Amino acid sequence: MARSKSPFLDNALLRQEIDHYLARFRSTFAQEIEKTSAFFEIACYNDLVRYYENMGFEPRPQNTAPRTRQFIYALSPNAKPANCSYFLLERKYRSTIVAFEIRHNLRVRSAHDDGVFISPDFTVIKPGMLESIRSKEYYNGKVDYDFVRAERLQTFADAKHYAPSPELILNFVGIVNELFPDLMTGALHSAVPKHLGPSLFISGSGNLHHQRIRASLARRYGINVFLGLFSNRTQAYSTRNQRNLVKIGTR
Amino acid sequence: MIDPFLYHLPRYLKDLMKREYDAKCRQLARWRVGSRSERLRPYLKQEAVLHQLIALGIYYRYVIAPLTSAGDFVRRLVLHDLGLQVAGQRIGSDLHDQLQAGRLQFYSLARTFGLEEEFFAISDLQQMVMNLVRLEERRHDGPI
Repeated sequence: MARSKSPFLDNALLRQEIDHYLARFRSTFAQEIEKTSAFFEIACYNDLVRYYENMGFEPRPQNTAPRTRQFIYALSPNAKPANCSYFLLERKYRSTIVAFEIRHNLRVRSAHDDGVFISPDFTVIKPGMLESIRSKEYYNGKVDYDFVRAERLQTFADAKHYAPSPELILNFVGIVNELFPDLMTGALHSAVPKHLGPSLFISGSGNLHHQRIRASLARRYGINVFLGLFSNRTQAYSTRNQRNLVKIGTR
Repeated sequence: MIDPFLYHLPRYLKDLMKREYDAKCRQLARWRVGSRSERLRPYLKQEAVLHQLIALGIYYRYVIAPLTSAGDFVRRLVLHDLGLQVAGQRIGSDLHDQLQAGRLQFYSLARTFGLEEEFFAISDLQQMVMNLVRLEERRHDGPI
């Protein structure tokens, strides 16, 4: 078996290889660089779909653009759900078919206050849970204001393409409190199928302190914090890691 | 050492990457001066090589990894004969292929030197250097 080169002993070669690499790909990457956050968010959306896929659900894209054959991924909560694509998940349990939708950037009404809305990056709901109101408070009453009630959420997740910090991780608890107050008091649902507990996907890898915070939040509130997703992409769905995940039952 | 990686990138990203690179170089210099480890000294001395790998790791984390991370999702859609439209803009399969080619070529470059994707995904300098030292030590003991 041939030895690999050493970056120390074969440094001239490393330098040459880097120069070739940059000459070939630098422009392509630079042209698309503004899409990095969007692509990271989409990758996390895909992780969530894979979690359900590994549980035996069949994911099917819905509400795609029929003429252009495009899956429409919106980055803004202002996008109307009727104009966005999503994945429908279905699994047969004995004689019944259980179905959920994984939506992105859907507006959710706070469990505490009817006038407060939050848009986590991803939400899992049962089909037919969307509501809309027309009020002068929203868009001057000219357009429907679409949302789902917090009580109807099965779970949700947020993606952050940042280096982790204690503040970033701990701020997520505020969203969990708005949307899943049950978790604050430890009242977990137990019905199957089980969903990932509210999850925070962070691209940057964390240090020991971040990992301690992660463990503490998992223990206290049933929250998953995924750190370092570029080095370990499969955390949310790999079979090996399932026992380390916090899961909550279906409502 | 980081400059060649920064060409054509937007200012905010250049600043972020440069700041991280400078901070890591300073950290490395402090470590080199303060370290009494006989094991680490020969490696810490070779600052230019470490600077090169720090720069490559930063480029991987800020540019290559995020831009190519949606690849699995695009492939999932292709199975359904669908394309991807993000915020009104189509992500064509040709663009996707170009980005993936960049990713594969990066892996190939890394593997030439016995390094894996995980090596570059780690942002902690000490961890990165220790991984490198272990790799070099194994290289002396047998083929890698």
